[in-house]
Amino acid sequence: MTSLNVSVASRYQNSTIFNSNSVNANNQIIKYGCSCGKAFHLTEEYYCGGCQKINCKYCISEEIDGYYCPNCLEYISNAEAQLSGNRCKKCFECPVCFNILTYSIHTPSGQTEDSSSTIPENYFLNCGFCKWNSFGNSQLNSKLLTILNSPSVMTGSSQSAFTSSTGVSSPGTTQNQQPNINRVLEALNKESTELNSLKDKKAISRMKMAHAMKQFLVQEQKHQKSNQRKNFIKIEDKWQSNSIPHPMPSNDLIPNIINNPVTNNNLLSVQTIKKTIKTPVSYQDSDAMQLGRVQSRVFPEVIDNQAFQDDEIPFGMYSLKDTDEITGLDQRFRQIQIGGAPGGNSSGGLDHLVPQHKYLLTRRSKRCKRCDRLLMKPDIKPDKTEFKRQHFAFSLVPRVTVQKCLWTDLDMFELFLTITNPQHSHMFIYFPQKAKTSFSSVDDNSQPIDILPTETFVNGLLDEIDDQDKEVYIQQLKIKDSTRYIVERKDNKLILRLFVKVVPSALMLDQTILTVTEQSITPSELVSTNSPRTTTAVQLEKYPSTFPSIKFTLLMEFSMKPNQLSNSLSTDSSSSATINVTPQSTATPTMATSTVSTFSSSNITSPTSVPTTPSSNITPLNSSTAGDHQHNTLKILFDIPANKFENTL
Amino acid sequence: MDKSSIILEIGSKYTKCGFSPESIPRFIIETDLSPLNLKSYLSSGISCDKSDRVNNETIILPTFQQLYESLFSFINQLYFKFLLCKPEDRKVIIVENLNLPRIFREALVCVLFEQFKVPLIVFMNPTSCLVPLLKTTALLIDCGYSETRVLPIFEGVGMMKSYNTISLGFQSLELKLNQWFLKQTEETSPLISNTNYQNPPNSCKLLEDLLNSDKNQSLLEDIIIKTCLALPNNNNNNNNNNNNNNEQQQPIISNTRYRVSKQYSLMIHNTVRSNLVERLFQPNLEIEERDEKQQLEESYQEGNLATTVLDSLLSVDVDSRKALCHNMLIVGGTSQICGFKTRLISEIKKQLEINSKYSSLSGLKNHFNYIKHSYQSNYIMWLGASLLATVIDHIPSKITLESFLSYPIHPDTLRRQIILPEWEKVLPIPSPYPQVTSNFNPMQFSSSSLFSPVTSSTDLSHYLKNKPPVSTS
Repeated sequence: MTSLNVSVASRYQNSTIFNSNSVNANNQIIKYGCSCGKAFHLTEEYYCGGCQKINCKYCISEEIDGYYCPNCLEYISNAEAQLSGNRCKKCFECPVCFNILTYSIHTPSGQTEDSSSTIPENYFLNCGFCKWNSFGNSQLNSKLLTILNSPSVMTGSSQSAFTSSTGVSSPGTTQNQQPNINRVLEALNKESTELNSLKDKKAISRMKMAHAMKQFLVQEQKHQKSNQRKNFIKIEDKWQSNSIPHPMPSNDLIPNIINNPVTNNNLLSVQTIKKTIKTPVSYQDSDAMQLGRVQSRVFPEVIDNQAFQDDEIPFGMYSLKDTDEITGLDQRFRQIQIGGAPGGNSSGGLDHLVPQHKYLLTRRSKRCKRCDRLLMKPDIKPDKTEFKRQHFAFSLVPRVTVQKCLWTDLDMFELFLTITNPQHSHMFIYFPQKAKTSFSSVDDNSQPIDILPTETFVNGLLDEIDDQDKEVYIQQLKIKDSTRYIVERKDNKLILRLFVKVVPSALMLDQTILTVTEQSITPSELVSTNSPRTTTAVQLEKYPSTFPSIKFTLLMEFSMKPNQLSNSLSTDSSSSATINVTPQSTATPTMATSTVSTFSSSNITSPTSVPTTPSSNITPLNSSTAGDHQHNTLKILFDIPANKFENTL
Repeated sequence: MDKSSIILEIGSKYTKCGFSPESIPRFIIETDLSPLNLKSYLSSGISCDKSDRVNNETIILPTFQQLYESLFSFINQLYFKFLLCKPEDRKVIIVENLNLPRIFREALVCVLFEQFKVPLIVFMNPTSCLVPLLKTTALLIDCGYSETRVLPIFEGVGMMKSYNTISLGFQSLELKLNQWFLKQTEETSPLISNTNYQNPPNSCKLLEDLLNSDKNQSLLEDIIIKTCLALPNNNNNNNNNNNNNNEQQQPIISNTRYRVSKQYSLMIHNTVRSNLVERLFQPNLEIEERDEKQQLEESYQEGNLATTVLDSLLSVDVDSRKALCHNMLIVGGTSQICGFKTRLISEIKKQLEINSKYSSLSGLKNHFNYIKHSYQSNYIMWLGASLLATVIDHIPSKITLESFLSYPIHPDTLRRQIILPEWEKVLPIPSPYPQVTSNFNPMQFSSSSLFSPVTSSTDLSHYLKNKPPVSTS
């Protein structure tokens, strides 16, 4: 109960294509609420065993386990995938229709049999769908040969075909663009170093001083302790390795102390300086520099025919007859490095498209965001489809489906729910009623008013071994069931009846209305005699408030162990033991009797107080059991379209 | 090892994404924020539901929650379907439009930090366009999908007072084409059968179905991309003789067949091919057209691309105008229409002649020129950010995961009250964001102004000029 601190839940459209198809619109009816306040279809959720809660797609974190090629199903490690830019090394994609290309061998027709065996075979790529082929592209075809011949794709010359993504260059950049990019990067780095050096300007001047001083210090203080000198150098080295740019500007005028230490003292003598400077800066040079600066600010008039040459419309575009000859956007986006847009020096035709390596897919595992436990882990081998770990809510949480719904009285209907237990062990379900208003969704327009007040169970999936035993056991328990609520039990299914009242204001019923309704729905009197409304059977009148769909929230707790069949702890444990181990043991009758007693007490004695009494009994039990994570609360949001009711007109 | 960071440019139609020092984006994918339709919202902050291309449209502003959810699924797809990398490992650099709605940015930041635990987010503005060109001065004209933005940048500083936008872009071309298709009668219908090249019966109805079907969402886009041309001077007065020469060489534009399905093709008439771009340059719409237009377009603005550029120039200081005119940088996917750049310049010249409003600019008539470069104009902004990622330390507009987590959570909305770096200083933002409040111009490349006159000598574009020119054939 403590888990449900978010009181507002909203229904979400099914996101997977499988569920959202319009053919089966019933998929939108029942949503399971996640603790984050969103409600999704059961198949889109996970169930975390650690925190015993449902995880929606916002409450999981994904991580990539491995990469694989969707065509050749080869597993590719993380480092390998990064190196190849997340692309498969062997499989190619058609540049026109994005189909997988096949390798073909071309044998020239002029060659005779014996000569063809000596020359290497000529491979080319071929699209089986749109008949594109790489026939003219000899560069690509020779690359194919290396791919096919190399035993391991990572080794040898084939690696050079894939430029690494770690460096500056990116896979397949056009030739004319890359030098520009490199120059820009160079300039940027230069700027960056300048900025950095500005930052620790004081440090630089200090270090420069130290450098200058060192010349003299080394000379004079040879007798000094060596560790002192060491310390001095150490600081300097540390500083040099710390800052990325070298602090010393490459000025020829400053004697280069580091590379060729000058031993004598006349550092700044004319001879020394002349020796170091090979090409002195002349006046012409500085003038030219000035002029260059000025000229970059002078703008001559633009002469048209020179200026706009690169924007000329290619000749082919004028006389274009069929648009299939021009690349579309998706084709261009698959090879951004080529561009393919007509204009300038490219014709926009299909002929210069180059096949691309197939893009990889990933195997991802999913973790719970709350406790970081693995929810789903696929097998790392791409050709295996089973999971190593799967915590789908669908296979762990009782599934609820609507069997049918019928209008019984004014704005009231009975709902038949089928509850399926997906697990092998027994499951105990209970509908807490105490705080039903606070857990409802915002857009609710109705409310369940009469639900099974006690805990009941759903059988586990039948195994072949204990088939017989369980059947007997079910038959035994069936007799004890309250016919008012429990319609039928079969295998691992339970059909439950409950009553729902449409509340137009969405703010919930008070007790007075409840008591009235209690009287009107005594079982087996649904076609009552006294009420004129029901006898006339004008079905529309039963539903005067015309909502397009009936929305309400149902709270359900489920656990693997029985909780409140008896108030004493000793019988509780014994009954749970019997159910889980063998039904024929002696404890069975005691449990059965206890069930009867509770049912009778709640059902027969005071029907008007049904919602209040059990809840008051149960509350302490719930709070005590909530701590040891036995009880898992589910919030099930219904959204039944009004036309789904069997007796609406 | 410091891993390369992710560069993300979320446009109203296409999102460019890739890794940092690379020169091309890995992917250009459609910005899929379904179930929301935010194409115009992302540029101007207004969202319209145009799902059923009919009249009934309501202005819908997405809530934070909606944005959060659709951004989550979009970015999730981005990481695990396209980029295929661990989100925790890499910094994210977002290149963004200056007028991006604040709530969208907040949602984006929240998604990246809360759901993907990104270590650092850096924001970059459109001035990053100039980095690959190593220029510091340019008149940036970004022709996007739903709007065109003009931003003068002088010496590395973007001039916000001259920032000008107009809601003309590829979308208006699409609407225009759609309108043209719907206007056709049974006789003039462009729909023809593939077998006998005749109009099939009911061709109008078929065409309408074709345009409205979900399958053909990108049909109009594809037609425009494959067929449309921007002729230098369309049927009007030939402003210059040089173009006259060209036109003599030009063959007549042919009609083009666009295959739609197995049975049918669309015959795109040559007038459509050449006249569609007119939509971006026509001064005013005809009145009969405007009624229909106003239904389709949520905000109609006076003017066209040329006037927008000139308006922006008018508000710039006199001294910097000439430099800007010579350095027009035309980016954006719409500018990749054949001949678009030349056409824009000739339209600007035409406006200078006929419109008395711009008489003060008439001296600049022969000074309009665009920057030629070897990059493609649709991702140049992305490229700039990718290059700037190497000097990420000098970019002040960033937010780390730790600082994000230190913001308090609002008790009502359960949202963190984050303060993002803003491009325009609307209000003095209190700390904890001291970088923003300090007195630097946020439109500069960085706080200590990379490329500013102070640090570098001048324009660094001579760096590129040393080598022989690379672009022209």
